[in-house]
Amino acid sequence: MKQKKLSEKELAHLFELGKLELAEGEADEYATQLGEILDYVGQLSNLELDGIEETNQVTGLVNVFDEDKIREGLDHGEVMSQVPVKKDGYVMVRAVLGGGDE
Amino acid sequence: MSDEYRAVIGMEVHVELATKAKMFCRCDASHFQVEPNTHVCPVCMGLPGALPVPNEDGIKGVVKIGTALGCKINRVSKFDRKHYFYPDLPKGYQISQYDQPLCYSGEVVLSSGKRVRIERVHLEEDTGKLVHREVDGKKVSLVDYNRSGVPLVEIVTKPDLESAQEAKEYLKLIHATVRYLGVSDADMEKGSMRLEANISVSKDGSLPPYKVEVKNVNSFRYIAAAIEYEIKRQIKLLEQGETPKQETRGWSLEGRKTVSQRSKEEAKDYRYFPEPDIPPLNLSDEQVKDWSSEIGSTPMQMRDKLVKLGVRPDYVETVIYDKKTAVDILSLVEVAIKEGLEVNKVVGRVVNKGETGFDRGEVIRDVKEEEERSFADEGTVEEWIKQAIRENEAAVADYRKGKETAVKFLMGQVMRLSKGEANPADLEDKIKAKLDE
Amino acid sequence: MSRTIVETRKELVDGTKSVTEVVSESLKIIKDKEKLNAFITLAEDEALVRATWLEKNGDRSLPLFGVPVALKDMYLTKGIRTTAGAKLLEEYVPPYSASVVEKLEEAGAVIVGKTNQDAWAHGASGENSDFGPSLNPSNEEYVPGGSSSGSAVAVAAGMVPLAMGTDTGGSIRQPANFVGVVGFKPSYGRVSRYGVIAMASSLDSMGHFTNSVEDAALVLGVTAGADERDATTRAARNYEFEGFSKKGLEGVRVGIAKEYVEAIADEEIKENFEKVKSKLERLGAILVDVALPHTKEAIAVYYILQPAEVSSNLARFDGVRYGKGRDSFGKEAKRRIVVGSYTLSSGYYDAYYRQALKVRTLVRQDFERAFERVDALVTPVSPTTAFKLGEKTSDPLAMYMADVLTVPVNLAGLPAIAIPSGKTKGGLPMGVQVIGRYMDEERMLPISYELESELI
Repeated sequence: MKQKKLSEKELAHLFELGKLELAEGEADEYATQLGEILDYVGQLSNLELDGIEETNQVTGLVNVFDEDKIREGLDHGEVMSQVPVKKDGYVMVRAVLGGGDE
Repeated sequence: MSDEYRAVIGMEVHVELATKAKMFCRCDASHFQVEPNTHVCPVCMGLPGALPVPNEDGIKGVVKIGTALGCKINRVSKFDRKHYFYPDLPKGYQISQYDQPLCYSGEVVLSSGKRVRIERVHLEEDTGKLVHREVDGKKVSLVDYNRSGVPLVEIVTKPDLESAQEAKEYLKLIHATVRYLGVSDADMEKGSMRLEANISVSKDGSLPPYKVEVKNVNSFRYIAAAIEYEIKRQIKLLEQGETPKQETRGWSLEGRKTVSQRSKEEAKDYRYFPEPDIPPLNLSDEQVKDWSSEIGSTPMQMRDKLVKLGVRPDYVETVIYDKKTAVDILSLVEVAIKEGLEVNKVVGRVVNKGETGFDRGEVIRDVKEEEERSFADEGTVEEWIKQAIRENEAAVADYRKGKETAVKFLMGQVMRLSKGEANPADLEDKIKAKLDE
Repeated sequence: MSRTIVETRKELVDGTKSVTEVVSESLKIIKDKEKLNAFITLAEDEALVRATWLEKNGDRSLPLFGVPVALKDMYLTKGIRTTAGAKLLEEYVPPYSASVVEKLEEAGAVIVGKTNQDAWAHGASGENSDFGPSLNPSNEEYVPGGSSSGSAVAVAAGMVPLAMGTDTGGSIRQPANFVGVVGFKPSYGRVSRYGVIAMASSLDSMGHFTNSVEDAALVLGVTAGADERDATTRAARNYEFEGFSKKGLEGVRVGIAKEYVEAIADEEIKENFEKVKSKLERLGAILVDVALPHTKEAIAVYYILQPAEVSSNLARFDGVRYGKGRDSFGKEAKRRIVVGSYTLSSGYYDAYYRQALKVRTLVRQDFERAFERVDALVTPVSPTTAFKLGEKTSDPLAMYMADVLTVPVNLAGLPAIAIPSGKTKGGLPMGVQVIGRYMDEERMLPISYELESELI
């Protein structure tokens, strides 16, 4: 069976995109398994599909939107009760430098 | 700027719509000076299991802005997920629009006649707000999600702007347009209008291979200063044979210069795909017409109207940026025309006073009075002119020598002699004619 | 304890049993059969308090009055821990409940606990649970199937007459098939997804396990309908259930797809399916051969679209507002997130994701064409019966391939139900699947009822 394996660089990049940690010694296992999966699903790229519409939605619905009206949300206390680290009503995280949307 | 270099500038403006509720949930969208994390729900907090339901007024707002900017409206449109990780983005993706924005291909015309093409106007949701602090000696970021999910409109131009002045005028027009429509208060200090400029310099007319993004500047004055500084900085580098680094820069107030904030080394992979939780939009012509009909006049249309009615361009530029002012001036001009008064005299009176409001009736009355004030007849005026010429040989001699200002002196003399009864409107010409006889 | 909702209600309405008695019985069986590991969280106190309240104040005419219900741990329950079978949410107590949960409670149900599942609904055996696998009541060395493993077990082992599950690629129908109960998947968009942890947004269906088709229909009557908080349910009709009457399947056209039959691996399932076909004919149904030519490609489509949506839906789990950090994700979740990121990344999107969206259209069209000629499709549910614990854990791809008979239904959003149809010589359950037209449970459930009556 043709076996494609992801390169170390590709794997590292994908893990970064998913904000996941690649543990020591796991790279090989992931690279192989992912290679197999991608290989399998990749067979679709061989099909001739010009002119076939894409299905994003099976409901066939369009134009679903609601009136601009305020509805009560969650109680502050309820929301914050599950927040691991908080301060003065804010959610707290380690300082982020730059980042965000460019 | 040296002739061989040309600045290539594109603007990206984000405008917060002033809807009552947020874009994809019905939480109260107000977030200015509100206790943190009190206008939130599972949807805008990105809790597990939450689902987005679009707010009609968000869509309406974008369509109105796009129409006002001369855009085509995409009848078929959709939302897409834009993925990146950041603490102020609770779902780990932002619901935005990628390849089917609601509006595209518009234009903004500047007072010089320059056409600035609008690439697209699309709808997305705002992020939460980060506040940077130090807690127990450690640098932390505090996150408030009250702003998360508020509808945001993104307006993107093609890189058609060529100077800081043009950019500033463009921004003022966008600001005014949005406020005319009443869809946003576009307050840069509050952050309901945010500016971003993409600046590069072309050496020989070709499209530059880089662009520098200038962000986090919240006034027209500073963005203009930043653009000017950037253009100079980039030209200097190009003259040294270097290509400016592709990066994001901010404006330093104290240093009066742009400073590097972050390197834009790799393009981010946002992994866009169509938002499965929100059915696509397929707007009917009727729906779009309905929404567009609420627009009324735009600042650019007001400019055109006023210019057509004969108002001086510099006066026009002073009055069109505020809707009430523009509307009031337009009606003032219309009345002036009906009354046979000189339009610029009337408008000039208001503009030069520099006050924010005016009483139309009062202005018309004042100007009328001035024009109808009885002036002395032709013959009497001619006698005064002759007298002034006789009594002011030195001035006449100056005029013969070529000094045009001597005429103004003589005008003053005639006015003195006539005790103001000589009509100043054509006095200068009359004096010249007499002198040239 | 009575096995069906209908019987349970009868006892309660008759006064033969009190709500507290029924609920206590349920809790006792759950605890006696703890070894099966069907539950992650037992809401014992809450259930008994509610039972007392219902006994005194409840409206006995409510369709689920006093009925003990278990919920797959993907369903958010306010104030009751909700984990999605994952360590990351081990301590998560939601501040709100799913719309379906609210509907069930409004209908008089008593929630007794949250059931075990493959973590994040990633799996087809229950072995991916961070809380240990559930065991198949038919044979405890075997898996009960997944990902709604605990819910399937809870009903099969007589703990509750109703357990909610989610079905994204077969996660209700397959375990129902493995343990021998009825597993129902509604049309996509018929039942609200609001408040249920999302796996793949365009594929997730909120369904349930019961011991009879009649019960399944009764429950759909409670859960179906538009929810203003879920935009994809905007066109969902309520389901009006007034009971079924037996009248046979005279004239009903039933489609048999050869691609599905060919996919059967076990000889006994093959034989069983032939028996089911003759029973259909005995009921008067007309068997029609239909072709579903893109059945094989459907797995590839599913394993592109689903991980892509999974990678997106799991992006919110960053440990900032709730739960633990992303290093708590297990291997299967990481695999799917990475596959999803790959197929969505620029450069690969067209070759993978966009292609999959197109083939999804072809899969849908296959079914549409078939339904021009038939009223329902009857197919096997799984190529094999339940397998032993540990048998398939080392080969993720092989596990994925076992979804071949269930996945196409999710791609097309159709309603489908798994009904028990016998047991192997070794005592393992076998079943069949009835598939209906989109949003047409009204036609498909009565047909299923008829078939079920013939299979009992």
